Amino acid sequence: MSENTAYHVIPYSRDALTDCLVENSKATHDTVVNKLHLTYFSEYFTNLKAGSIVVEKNYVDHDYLEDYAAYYVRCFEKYERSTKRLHFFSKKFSEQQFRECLTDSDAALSETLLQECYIGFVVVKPLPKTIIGRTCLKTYPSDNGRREFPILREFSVSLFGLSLKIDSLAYQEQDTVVAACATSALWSCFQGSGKLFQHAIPSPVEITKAATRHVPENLPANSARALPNAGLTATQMAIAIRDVGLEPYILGTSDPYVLNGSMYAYLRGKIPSVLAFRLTDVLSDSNGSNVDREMGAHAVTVTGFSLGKDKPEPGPNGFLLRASRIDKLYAHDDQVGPFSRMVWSQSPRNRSYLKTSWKGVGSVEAIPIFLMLPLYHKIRIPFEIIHDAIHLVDSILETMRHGRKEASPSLERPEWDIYLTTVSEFKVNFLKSMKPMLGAQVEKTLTVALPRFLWRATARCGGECHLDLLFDATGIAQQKLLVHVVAVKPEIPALISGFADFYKSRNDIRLNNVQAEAIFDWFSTTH
Amino acid sequence: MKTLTNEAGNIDLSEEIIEMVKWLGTACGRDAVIGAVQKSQSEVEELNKVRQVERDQLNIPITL
Repeated sequence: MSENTAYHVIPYSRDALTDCLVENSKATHDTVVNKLHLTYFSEYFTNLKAGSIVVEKNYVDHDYLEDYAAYYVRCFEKYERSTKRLHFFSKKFSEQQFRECLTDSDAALSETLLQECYIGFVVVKPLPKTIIGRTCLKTYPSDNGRREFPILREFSVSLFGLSLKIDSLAYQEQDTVVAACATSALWSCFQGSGKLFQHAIPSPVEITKAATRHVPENLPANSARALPNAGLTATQMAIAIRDVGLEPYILGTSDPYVLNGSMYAYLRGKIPSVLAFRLTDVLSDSNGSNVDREMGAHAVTVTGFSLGKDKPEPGPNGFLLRASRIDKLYAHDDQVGPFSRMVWSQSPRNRSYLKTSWKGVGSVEAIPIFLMLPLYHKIRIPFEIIHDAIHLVDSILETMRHGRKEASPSLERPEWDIYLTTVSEFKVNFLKSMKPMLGAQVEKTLTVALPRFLWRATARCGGECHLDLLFDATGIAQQKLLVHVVAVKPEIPALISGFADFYKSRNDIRLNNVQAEAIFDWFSTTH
Repeated sequence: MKTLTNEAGNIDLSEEIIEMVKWLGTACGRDAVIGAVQKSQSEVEELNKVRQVERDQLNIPITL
C-alpha cells in the first residue's frame, strides 16, 4: 500500500504532541518543550482523555494566509504558505481504521463515532517560535453549572469530507510580528462578537493595521510601528473595535467586585471582553520582604467563569450580587492556552490579584487594569446604571427588613443576578424555567413586546426566584427603562410596594435615581 | 395586602411586612431610609472611582 501523504494518525501522548509540534513547524525541540502551551495542552488533553491525533498535513488557514500575504511572503527567509492541522479525538484508533472510515461506508469507525469523540483542532504554523495558530477545543464539562462558557459558538470542521463540529471560541498565539497579545485577544473576542452581531471577522494583521492607524501618545513607551508590532494601547484597541463596526466600552477593574460584576453581566449576554492587567513578579529580598518586579502589561480574552463560592461575597453595603460567587475566570491567554484558569487570590499584603500560569522568579500576580467590551451600537445602557439602581432598592429593602429590632426577619436578603440578555433568549429561558410556576402571568410575559436587548435583574431568596425585572438596554439613561416585571413570589414585591406608597406620600426623601424610582413606581398602588 | 406564607406554610409573613411598612412611617424609619439612600449613593460614588480609567492607563503599552 502506498504511503499516505495527506494525513497521519498517531496515538496521543505528551511526547507525540511534542513531536507533532516540532515536525510540523520550524521550531526546535527545545523551543517547543519550553513553551507554556505544551504544558497547558498536555494537561488539557489528559483531562479530556485524548486518544488519537490525526495530522492534516496540508491545511490552508485563512488567518495565517492573511498574515503570510501581509508580512512573511516579503521576508528574505522562505516561509511556507500552508500550515498543518492537528485533530484530537478521545478514542484510540489506527491509521488503517481512519482510512477505512474515509473509504468504506460500513467501517466500524464512522463519522458519527468520530464526532462523538472529537476534542477539537490546533493549527501549527510554519514559524520558528510562535507556532500555535487557530485552535478550537472543547471546554471542560460544566461541573453541575459551576463552570460557564456562555460565548461558545459552533465551528464546522471539514476533514477529508468528514463533517465535524466543535463548540468553542477560536484561540491563537501572538506571532510577535503582525500580532502582539492585544491583537490576539481582540481576534478571539471578534470570533464571538462576529457571530453574535454579524460583522466580518478580521485576521490578526488586519486588526493590527486598523489599530495602528492611530499613533500612540506616549511614543517613548509605545512603538509607532505598525509591523512588526510590539503591542497596542487601550486607545488603539478601541479603534480596532470601532473598525469592525462595534462600540468600544471600557471600564476600570482594580476591584474584584467591579470586574466580576461587569464581566459576568456581559458574558451572560454572550459578549466576550478583553481584560488588560499588569503582571508583577513578587520576589523576596534579603530581609524576607516582598519586592515587586514589573513584568509589563498583558491582555487576554475573557471566555468564561466559575461560580465556585457557595454563597455570594457581600459587596458594598452587604449587597449580594450573584457574580460575586466567581472564584475563577477562564481566558484565552495567548501565552498560556485557551480557556486557561485565572484564580482570584489575596496576597499577604492584602492585594487582590489573579493567579495565572505565567512563570517568574517569584510568584506572578496579575493585577487587573481595565476591561474592554465590543458592544453592538444598540446596547446603550451600561451595566452600572442597572446595578446602581438595584443596589439602592436593595439598601432600602434591607433597612426595612431590619427596621424592627425585636426579631430577625423571616424573609432573607435577596441575591441579585444582573445580566444582559435578548428578548428571544429571555422568552426561551422563561418558558423553560418559570412556566410551571406562574400560571396566568405566562401568556402575558411571552406575548409582551420587548426591546431586542434587555438587562435582566433576578432576585432569589434561598435559591428560589422571587422577582424578575426587565430593563430596556437600548433606551436612554434619563428615561425609565423598566419594561416588564415577573413577580414569582409575593414577599419582595410586597415590600417594594410598601415602600413605593410611603415614598409617594413624602416629599422629604429623594432617591435621585431614575431607574430605582421606576421600580417603585411599577409597584406603587397609588398610580 | 395579601396573606403571605413561607415555604413551610406556617409563618404568616404578611404581618411582618405590614410591620416593616408601618415602621417606615415612624421618625426612626424615615431617618433610617434617608441614611440608607445616602449610604448607597456614597458607595456607588466609590464604585464609580474604581470604574474610571485614568488617562495614563489608556496609554500603557500592552506588550507581553
